[in-house]
Amino acid sequence: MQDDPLAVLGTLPARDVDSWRAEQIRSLSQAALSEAARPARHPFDRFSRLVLEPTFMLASSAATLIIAFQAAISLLVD
Amino acid sequence: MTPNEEHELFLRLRRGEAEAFDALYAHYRPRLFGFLARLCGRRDLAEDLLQETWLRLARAAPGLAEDSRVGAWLFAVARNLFYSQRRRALWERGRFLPAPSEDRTADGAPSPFDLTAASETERILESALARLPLEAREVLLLVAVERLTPAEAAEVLGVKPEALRQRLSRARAALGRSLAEVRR
Repeated sequence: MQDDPLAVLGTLPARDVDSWRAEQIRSLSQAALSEAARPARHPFDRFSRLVLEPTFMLASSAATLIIAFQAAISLLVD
Repeated sequence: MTPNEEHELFLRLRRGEAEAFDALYAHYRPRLFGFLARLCGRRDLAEDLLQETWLRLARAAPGLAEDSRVGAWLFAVARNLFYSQRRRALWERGRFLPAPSEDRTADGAPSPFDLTAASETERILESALARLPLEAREVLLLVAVERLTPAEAAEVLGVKPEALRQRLSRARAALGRSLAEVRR
């Protein structure tokens, strides 16, 4: 055995899992990779759903209200 | 595999390429398994930690920084998973038994590879490694067995290069003593 214990350690053989286990881990990881690499929803979709759509609904309701109010006023004035 | 080839594979992995994953898996699986099994002293546990390490890489790959070193990343995650598992095991054991007196996982226990050692020299080395305290064992596994560069090993252990040098020096002395004990 060589004198330098560090050099001696480098002679230890590589070890591995059984081939069926290696394939199982590979397969699970590939599925996880495929899921992770799937294109995420565009950030604008989320912004649109959370901000733009409610704002539009609110503005549209307000506009309807104003038009109805104006119509009522004009009826009263006439 | 050269560092450039490895980095190229990593960049392809970030884009979700299955072939790049397979190439990195074939290259690092035995190294990570050997590291984990010698660190924790159990084949079954090492297999579970190995699986979790690769799953973490698969899930995290698209979001990792472009300049990440995938080898060091894998060893660091494997090591962190081992320490998390070990903390849980010690906590659970501590509820029923007194805390262990020394920071060792496999205190004098045979290495998981003792039985499969091809030669007496190999058996002595495996046994001497298994007897070392964790701090010494992990640095020796990374630097002397897995041949990580000092910079990579320091990154895995989360220490500065100077601290790594000191740790390695202490580990080398501890290994010398352990080898002498095993040979007796």
